[in-house]
Amino acid sequence: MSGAMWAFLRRDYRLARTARLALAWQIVSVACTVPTMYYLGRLLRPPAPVLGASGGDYFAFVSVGVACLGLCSAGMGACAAAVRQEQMGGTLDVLLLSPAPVWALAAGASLWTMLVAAGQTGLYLVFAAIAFHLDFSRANVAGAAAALVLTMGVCAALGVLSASLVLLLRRPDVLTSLVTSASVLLAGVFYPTRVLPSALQRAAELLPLTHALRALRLALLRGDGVAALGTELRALLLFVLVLSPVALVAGRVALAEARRSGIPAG
Amino acid sequence: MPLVSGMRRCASTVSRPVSSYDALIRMMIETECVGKVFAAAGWPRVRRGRSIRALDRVTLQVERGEVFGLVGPNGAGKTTLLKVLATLLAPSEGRAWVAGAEVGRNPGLVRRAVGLAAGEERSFYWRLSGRENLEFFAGLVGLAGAPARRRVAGVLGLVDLLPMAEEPVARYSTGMRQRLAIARALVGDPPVLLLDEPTRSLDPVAADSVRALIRRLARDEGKTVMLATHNLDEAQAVCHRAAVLVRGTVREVLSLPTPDGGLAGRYRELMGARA
Repeated sequence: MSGAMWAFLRRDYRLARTARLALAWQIVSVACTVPTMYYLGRLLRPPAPVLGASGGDYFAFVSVGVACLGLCSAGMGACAAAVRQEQMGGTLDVLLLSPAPVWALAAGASLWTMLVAAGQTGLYLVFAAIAFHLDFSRANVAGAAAALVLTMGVCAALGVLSASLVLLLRRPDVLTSLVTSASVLLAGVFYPTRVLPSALQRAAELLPLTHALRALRLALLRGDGVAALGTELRALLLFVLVLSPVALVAGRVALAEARRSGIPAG
Repeated sequence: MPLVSGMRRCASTVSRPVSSYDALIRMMIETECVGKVFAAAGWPRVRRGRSIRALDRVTLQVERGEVFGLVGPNGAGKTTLLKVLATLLAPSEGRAWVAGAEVGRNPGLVRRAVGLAAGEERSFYWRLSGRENLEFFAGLVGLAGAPARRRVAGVLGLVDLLPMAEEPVARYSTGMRQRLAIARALVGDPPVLLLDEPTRSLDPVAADSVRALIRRLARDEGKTVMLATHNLDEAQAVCHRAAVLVRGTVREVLSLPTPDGGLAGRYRELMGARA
């Protein structure tokens, strides 16, 4: 990890220490969400046949959905939120003046948010497993890891795109909100995509989270390995391959435009 | 003796800076016909209002250890020129070099050579202390651990902020934040300092101590300082030379200090000429 990234991590830890209530609230929100999902799941017992393919009951289905959505939203929005915060705080100029490479600045500024989101996701799943007997005994670690790595790759690319738009437009992050809202509606976070009308099912295939959720559920709840997850992993890889160069170009264009027009002053 | 940096000389008489080692170590800042036009609107390019020319064929040379003033009214282009030299703004025309590195081609090298103290007093993390802020920025220039802590303590001492080092920046006065900005510019020990109105919000005693600090940095540590200021007395007291900028053009470069009233008188003449 570069020195700049450590500097960001230390800074954000120090900032978080000054806002302990916010950190505590994130833990409380996990403690509230898991039982809510569990009792909602009890309403739907026995599970509808449409849930069967994912390998668990509704509580298992929605737990993986909510955990993955939280991680993906953080992954997509962390960099853009950091850019916006630095714009508003008047510190973006100073950061861009540093000799640290831009990738290190972007990664460093997102790191704390990602760590907190990962911690929150882990806490969510551990709490669900221990307190409400969410069954991960059949989980295939390699399959889940492959799906997670590719999902984070897609989120990082979308994150750079979002941050580029924030830098250019000096507006709050619209892209992350748009993708997250569409994912909540279509990607199968709270219900399987198969309950949607066929046109919306086709639209759902265009969202990375649809494939990420399918892969993670199959790996964590049914124990599918990398080979069995081939279709979903290939779809996620395609998203990474298409979005990454687009994000890199967008980042370069945004920075060049910012330096041309003086946007970083915020 | 005043040197006229004529904007009309750019195309024909100003040669490309010499790139020999001697020239590189002697000339720390050079600009060659630098121009900057802010388009009518940023991105997306929707027409709203008119374009603004902030700099027009600015040609300057500043030697190592020199304190060079930029004086001029609001909107003259002083801050824009500093931002171009700091790589925060790309010039629309011309070229600029800092410590031998071209601003457009080697921005990374330029950023290593430059410390900028801008007039933006918000530019800190207000919930963190002055020391924590500077340790963060030290990390961005590659300092960590004990060397970073020593350097941060050193620059806080230079700007007389050690007693307040552990206080959150939110509790600092405007003047203290301004001194903290100078400390931040110094934290990476760059050879070139770009200071934008560094004494603007300071009381006379604090302003005097900042001026003394600037002189000391140039004299004892060989720092090259470009200082944008409205204050002609300050330019007289601190700068070896000063360029009078009017509407983005360098009207005149004066050697300082001039005889009593020389800079102020000449400045008023140029302002009168503008009207």
